[in-house]
Amino acid sequence: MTEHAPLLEVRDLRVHFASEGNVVRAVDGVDFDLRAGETLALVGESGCGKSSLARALVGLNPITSGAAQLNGRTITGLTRTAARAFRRELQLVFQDPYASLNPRFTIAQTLAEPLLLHRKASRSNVDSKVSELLGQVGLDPELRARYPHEFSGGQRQRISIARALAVEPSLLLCDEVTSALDVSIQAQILELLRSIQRTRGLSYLFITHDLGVVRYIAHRVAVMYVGQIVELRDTESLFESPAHPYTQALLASIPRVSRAAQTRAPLPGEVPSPARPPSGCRFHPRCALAFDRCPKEHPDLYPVPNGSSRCFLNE
Amino acid sequence: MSEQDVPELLRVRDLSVTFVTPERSVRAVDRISFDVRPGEVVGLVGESGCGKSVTSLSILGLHEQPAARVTGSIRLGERELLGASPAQLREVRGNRVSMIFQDPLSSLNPYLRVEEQLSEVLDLHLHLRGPAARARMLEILAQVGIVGEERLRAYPHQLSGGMRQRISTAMALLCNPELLIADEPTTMLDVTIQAQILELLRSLQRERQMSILFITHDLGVVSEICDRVIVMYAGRIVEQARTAEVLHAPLHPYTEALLRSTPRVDVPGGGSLHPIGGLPPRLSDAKLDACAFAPRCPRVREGCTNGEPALTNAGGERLRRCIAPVAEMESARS
Repeated sequence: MTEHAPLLEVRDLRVHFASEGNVVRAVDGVDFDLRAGETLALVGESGCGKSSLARALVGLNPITSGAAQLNGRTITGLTRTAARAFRRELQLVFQDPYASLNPRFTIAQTLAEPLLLHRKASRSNVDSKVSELLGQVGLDPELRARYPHEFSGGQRQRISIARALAVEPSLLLCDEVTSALDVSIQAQILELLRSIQRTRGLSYLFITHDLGVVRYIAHRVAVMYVGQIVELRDTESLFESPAHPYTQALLASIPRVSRAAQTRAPLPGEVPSPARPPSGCRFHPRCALAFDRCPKEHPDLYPVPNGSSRCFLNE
Repeated sequence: MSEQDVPELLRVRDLSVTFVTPERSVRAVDRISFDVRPGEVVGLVGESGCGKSVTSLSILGLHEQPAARVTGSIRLGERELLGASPAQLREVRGNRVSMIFQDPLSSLNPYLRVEEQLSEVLDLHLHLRGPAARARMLEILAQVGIVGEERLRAYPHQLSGGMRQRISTAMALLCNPELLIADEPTTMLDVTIQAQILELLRSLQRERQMSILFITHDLGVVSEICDRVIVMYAGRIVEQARTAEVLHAPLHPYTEALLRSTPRVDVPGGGSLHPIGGLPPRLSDAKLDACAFAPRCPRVREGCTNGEPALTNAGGERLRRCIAPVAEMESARS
């Protein structure tokens, strides 16, 4: 492996489901790279495929076709032992920490389990390892004997992060990790994730619907629409000069503190079903800039400054 | 006539809501007072547990007695709602005040087609049936941007989230209420659909000169739709002012901290985040001997723990509950 090889390579990945005689193309040909130490945000509205993609990467959804490689090793078709080793490299943190923490385990037990299972600690030093982890996520190691229900939402999210860090992963997949938290607590967790990245050189695949959070945490952003990436850019390029009409509409529809009630026309209609994607460009029925070519041909991703965009206007 | 002279539509005075359990009592709302004038959109803002939803449920008399002890006064026009009989409250609900919620599924009956849900309201409140009811339904659906009769036959589960919120908004507007209470109506929606619903509420509010009490935790949404804002913390009002004042020149350190902890979509790098340390206080019914925000306040000073500060006038209609408000400290420094 060369030094510049990406940590995660995803090529033409497809996740299709059969549903009532239809094929639901939840993820329909997605390509991207994630570099070591980088945060890539995956954004888009409900049904765009961002969660299906994430679940496929960790083996919770079957991959229909395409390839994904982490550290040069293929993700698809792993044996059970290989899959376990792989899961150590890629850890997940979910939106609702309460649902992902075992309510009958103390925090010490929750953190000790992965440490021992993946041989990151032995019986003799597991206690000090647990304390170390708690310290890293800003929790008092004295709290180790408590149960999840004794913690607030923000503290529970810190515990889930500590558990993910326990096995020393190279990639953390964060699925709406701050969506259930109040803003004052969200800010604490975002800061924590940033500082962990600085000290450990960890990569994040960050799934969120909150574009303010994206601008704060991400280096690059992939915008998804009906199973496909429609724009992939450096964060600041995306926010300063969005190339795809969907990204433009998405950014325009976010309420901002700095802008009084305005007269922008909201994007009409709704996200189409991935079971029946529109012909040609999938955004054309809602696009104010669509022209005769858009319903007929399917656009590729074309290069734009600091990224790419799936729109004929960028060809 | 200046704004102060307009008779208020909703007048809340010294409203307290205490939940009593065998173990302890929790005062979720503590002596709050505010007005909503005709045609005005007032935002009720704060984080989980600040009392904003509890306040809105009190207005409609939706708390379960006797577990909730509600005291004070809530007047709608000339009528006192607190202590009103169930029959009187039923007449107010739907006819003069209606409510839309965060999750439209929770306010729609899963067993009834859209048509049946709407006709029930028309029958009950306006005694409209048959073709007259149908005409009214189509009219109200057109106003919320739903055209054609096809949707009338749909069950809630067959509709998207945005469509469901439009239907529950239509249902809330059927009887031309004077006041709409909207409790986080766009929180579960995608941003493009949120923009559609906010635009819809704004235009309906303008056309009908309806008042809205808009409950949200999202300061961006506040700037889009509210004329005035009430910021709540730990069951108390900590600041009240016009929207631009609250968002651009907040007086209370909590309001300032909320703004500074929100990642900005319009600032490079999302702006610099300043998290608020610690957690909101655990509520009880004991009297406070300090400012409720003092333990987390970056501007805390000596006097802050010397009794709870009063809500005082800060010029015009502005109110603040702080002995060392932000703007005064800024001007003292410069």
